Amino acid sequence: VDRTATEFARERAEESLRVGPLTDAERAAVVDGIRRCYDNAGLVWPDRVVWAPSPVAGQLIAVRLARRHTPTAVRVRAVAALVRRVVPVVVMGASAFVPGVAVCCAGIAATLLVSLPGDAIIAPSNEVPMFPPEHLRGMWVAGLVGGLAALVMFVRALIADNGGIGSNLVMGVLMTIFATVPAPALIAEFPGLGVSWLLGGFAPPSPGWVNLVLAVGLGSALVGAAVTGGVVRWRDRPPVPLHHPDPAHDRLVASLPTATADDCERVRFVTDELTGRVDRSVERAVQDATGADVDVRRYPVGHLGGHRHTGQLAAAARVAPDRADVRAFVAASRAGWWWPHTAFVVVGERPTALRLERVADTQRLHSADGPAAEWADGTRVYAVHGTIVPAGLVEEGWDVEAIHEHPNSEVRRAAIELIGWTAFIRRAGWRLVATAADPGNPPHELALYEDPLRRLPDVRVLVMTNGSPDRSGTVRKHAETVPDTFDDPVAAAAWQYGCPVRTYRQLGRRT
Amino acid sequence: MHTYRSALSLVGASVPPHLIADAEVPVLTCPQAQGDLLVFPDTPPQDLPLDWQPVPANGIRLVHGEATGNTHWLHHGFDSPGVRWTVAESPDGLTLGFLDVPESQSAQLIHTDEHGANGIGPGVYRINRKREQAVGAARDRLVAD
Repeated sequence: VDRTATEFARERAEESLRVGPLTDAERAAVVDGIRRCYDNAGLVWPDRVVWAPSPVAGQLIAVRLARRHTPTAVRVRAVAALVRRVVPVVVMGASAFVPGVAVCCAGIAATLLVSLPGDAIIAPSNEVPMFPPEHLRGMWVAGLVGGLAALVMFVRALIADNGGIGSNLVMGVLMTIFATVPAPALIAEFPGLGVSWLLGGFAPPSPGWVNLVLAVGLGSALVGAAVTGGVVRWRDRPPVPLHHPDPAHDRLVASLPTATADDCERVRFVTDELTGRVDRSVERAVQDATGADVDVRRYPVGHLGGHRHTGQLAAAARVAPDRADVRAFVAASRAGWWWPHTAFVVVGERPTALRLERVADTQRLHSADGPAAEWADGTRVYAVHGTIVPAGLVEEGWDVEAIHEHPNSEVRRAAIELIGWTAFIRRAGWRLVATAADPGNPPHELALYEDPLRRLPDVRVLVMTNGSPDRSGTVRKHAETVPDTFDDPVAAAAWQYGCPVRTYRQLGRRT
Repeated sequence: MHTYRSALSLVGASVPPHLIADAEVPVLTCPQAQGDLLVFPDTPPQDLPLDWQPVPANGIRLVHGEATGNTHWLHHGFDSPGVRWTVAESPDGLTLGFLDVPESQSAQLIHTDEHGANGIGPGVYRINRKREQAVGAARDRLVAD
């Protein structure tokens, strides 16, 4: 490993994670760098620079400005395009659903019309019906409901088939006739008959009543089918929402300097390891804070200066520090993220504080007692070992119930690590599965625990004792997670080191 | 025979006050654990291309915990010029490499903080890191102290 490449990368990483406000001269240098980046990418310099106090503010300012700079004509055209995309989606859904329902309804209606007294398509039969005719009304209504319910189930499969309208119509009819749709319809008729029988005592229906029920029932079934089909289809394949991208960001990304020497890979790798996780956490927090904003989706403006480019830029700066494009991007990256647009540039301030944790050769946000990243406008990001967590977890602390209630398993893990597994399993009432003598570490034991309520899937916890006292002189106990497939604490410990259990049992010494 | 004092002096570290400086470091040929590292007798797989290198006098840095600044160092013992090491990373990321200690020679695994030193006798050993089961995350995580 070339030490100087690593050192270089570390300096670049440190530079990109610098905190505190910029001086006026530094701001001017940043803006000048961005201007040169525009020039190099062949973009016209918009000469409108807006400084944002934090990445969240920067993202929102950028999309608001992007909306303001999108002409009304462009927006109208986009709405028209959206309508053109929506209509086929709804038509396809309806065309898949309606014929099936129509066939189903028509079949049931015709059958019942024949048997019902009064006005009928075919002349009334002289035969005595099997059931008193008045009860057939209940049978008919229940049959209709059963048939529709079954159709809803099948229509999804039908819609997933990406045929045209013609094939939808044919498939709808075939499916109704030959698939199981008529079966639930027929089955449902019998409970309907039973209910009607139990309630009993109705006079035979008048022809007008039968016609009205038929018209309302069939009509609403068809409308319902069309709407349902449209909705299901929309959910399966929603049309692309309104979207007004700006080309400046992509042009600038394409103009980013690249470097390919061996040494560069090392620089890129080390820089990414030291900055990537930190920046990804910030990006995640910004997404959480702005993702629901309609403008963010409709008028997207991508940023530069983040983890996607830091390593690449560091590698280029290693090889060709004096090249004009490299110098421009390096100068532009001295502030926070920046959002380029053809009509403006938003530049983000650096954070006022970053609290980082180094693990092996990587770096991540971590603070157990306050925000891990903070900006001048009060934007705060809370993170525990790199996992973004709600502010309440760090500021107030959660009890065991609150931890288990959080829907995100990463956040749950971070919350548990904050109080420590050893304390957590005690508070959460975990059950001791087994203990065993700790090989190589007498007189201590290994203890394996499980959660009787299985609130964390696939995990048991192994509690062990250190082989040596720490600097305070105490021999610390600590706990780590193991797969829940182990019942034997020694086997679980051997798994941790990827060592056969037989070998692990011969452990002679643990320090 | 190394003591903690002599072993730690190899890496330029002083003996932490809670360890007994003149306690002897036993040289063993059975599996030994040093915090998040395990040394155990094992032969390298046949199909693995290995690049055996003598362990240099100033040692090899096996794992550097940047959170704590502590490092596991691998050194050869007294009169042990034949001690060899090869990097052999396994797909699961656990194995760091293999250690070959010739007859009547020894190697030292030294931690710059609380874990002190472990003496390793003649044999071929695999040195593995430690992992824990992922909770929520996609894959197992390596443990570093």
